[in-house]
Amino acid sequence: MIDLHQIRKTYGVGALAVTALHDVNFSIAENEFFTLLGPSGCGKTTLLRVIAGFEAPSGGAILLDGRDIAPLPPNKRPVNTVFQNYALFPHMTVAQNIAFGLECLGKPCAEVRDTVERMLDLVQMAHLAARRVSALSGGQQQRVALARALAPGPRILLLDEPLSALDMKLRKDMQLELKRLQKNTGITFIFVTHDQEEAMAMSDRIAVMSNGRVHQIAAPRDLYDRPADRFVGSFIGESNFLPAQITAQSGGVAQVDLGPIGQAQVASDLPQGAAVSALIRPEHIQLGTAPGLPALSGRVETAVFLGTDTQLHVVTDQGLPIMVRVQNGIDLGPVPAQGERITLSLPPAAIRLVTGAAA
Amino acid sequence: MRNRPFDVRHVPGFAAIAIAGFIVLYVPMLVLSAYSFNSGDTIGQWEGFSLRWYFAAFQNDDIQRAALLSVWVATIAGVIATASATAAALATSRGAGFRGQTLVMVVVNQPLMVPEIVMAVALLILFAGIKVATGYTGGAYLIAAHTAFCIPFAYMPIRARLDSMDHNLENAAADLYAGPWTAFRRVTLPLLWPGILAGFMLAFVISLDDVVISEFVKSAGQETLPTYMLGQLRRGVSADVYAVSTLLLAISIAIVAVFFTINKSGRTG
Repeated sequence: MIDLHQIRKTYGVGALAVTALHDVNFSIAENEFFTLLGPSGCGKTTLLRVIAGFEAPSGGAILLDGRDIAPLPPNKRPVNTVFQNYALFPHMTVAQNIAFGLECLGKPCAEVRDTVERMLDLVQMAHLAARRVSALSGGQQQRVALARALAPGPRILLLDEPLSALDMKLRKDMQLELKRLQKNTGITFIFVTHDQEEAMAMSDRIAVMSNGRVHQIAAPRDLYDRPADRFVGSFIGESNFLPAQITAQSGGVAQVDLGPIGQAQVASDLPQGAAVSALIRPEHIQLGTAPGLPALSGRVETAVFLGTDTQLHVVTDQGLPIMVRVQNGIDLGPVPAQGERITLSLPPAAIRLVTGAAA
Repeated sequence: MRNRPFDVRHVPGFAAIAIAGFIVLYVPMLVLSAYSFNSGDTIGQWEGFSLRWYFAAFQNDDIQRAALLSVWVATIAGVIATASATAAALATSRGAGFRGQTLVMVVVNQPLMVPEIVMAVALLILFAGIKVATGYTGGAYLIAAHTAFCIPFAYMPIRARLDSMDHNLENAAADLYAGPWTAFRRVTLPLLWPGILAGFMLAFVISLDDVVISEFVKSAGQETLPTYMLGQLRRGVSADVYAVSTLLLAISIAIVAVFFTINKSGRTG
């Protein structure tokens, strides 16, 4: 439905030029909750502003239903934005804010009134319709901003870190509510965030960005299980990176030398000799030895109790730092304590080869 | 050891200097205002309370004519200056940056830096030429001159207001299908309005108060209130001038008070 084709954005000229977006390409489907995820300064907000029309791309095309909207000003694009600071019109009431887009589209009065009412109900703000927006709490302003952007019935809703100003509890509630709104309205959402948990909780697919490039686009589960490179692996979830070398490659199975840990066979298409590291998630490492699994022993440096599980910082006898998560439970036996010597085993299925050498 | 941030109020002698400052600023005005209610003719000699000088001032045709011209010039020059300043502020703070933007700001604010007397002589020479060439000697010269030096005063509060406004509000309007003109009319202008009003009032007061440029630019027989008062003083101080001064002071205070109230309500509302 929307295709970004070779979108490039540079600021400045000549030697001082800074590239904010490097040839970004992706397609988003109808009714998809799509998230742009990355650390601050990665270009995700710039990309959103390019799609909204607040910034002109230096090159490339934005095809919406097959039509290039890149040359159009923001008011000619059937997309609406929820701003990070909401940008509600302070001189208008809640209802006037929501009606603004519909009025600018020249909708008849009756239709404007009906839609505003419907939107107020949708975000549960009907009782505050006549309030000035400056008299609202952060969470309420958030709802008005959503209703205002949804009211004209955009093809795509753009959300620029809309939850970052809310406190934790409210944020969790709004995550569920946004997800529900997206499913109910059937509008495509493009959501920008730096919070990977938020992205995982809400998105159908996530594009992970850094330094103006898209590293990987995948569903949350795939991103976590099969990160394409070291950056994605370290940005999504917790991870251990171990030095690794591919010694042989045959038909999608790589023979890997994990140094002190030994040899393992890992499913991977990466060629022999590629600069790789082995990623293993802390919760996939098992305590104790198991037959046929590479094992290593070490000492628990710190044990951090986190409620459902305990985080162990282990240093192996070879001096490798490894993070392990152990589930806490009634039947699961005692969790190793600080200073204790333990043995760990690494199931080969949990090892994932990613490009980029281990530090 | 005390490690508090520097606070000027704790410097020895601060209170004495502050009080001396206030005395120098306000005592002359208080004396002037007080003597405008004197029933006697001479300054320094209080003979009882009376409104006689106010009645005298209001009945004086010259003062009436001068006051009317001052208000006319201040209103028209204020409106033109405010409109120009609004356009200048929008051009220098909104839209794409352009080459020479800083130069434009310097040029707009130039009347603040050029000595007024220099500007006055320059205008005198220019307008004298035009008067000879066209034969027109009306109020347009005063209005043109006042407009020019009022622009920076109108520009400052408007620009300050624009700078404190969130750019995303205009983006949001555009995002919600408002064309540039609709976005300006429905979002920028209503939010900028307190700044525009404040700019106009500042320009109005500055114009009302001007004596140097008016004295040089006015045609023969034209008097604004300040030039009339200056002329009267040459012939010896007359107490109706005190009354007029006190009224001008009251108007200025009222306008400044309104200016602050508008700015304050605009911030929170």
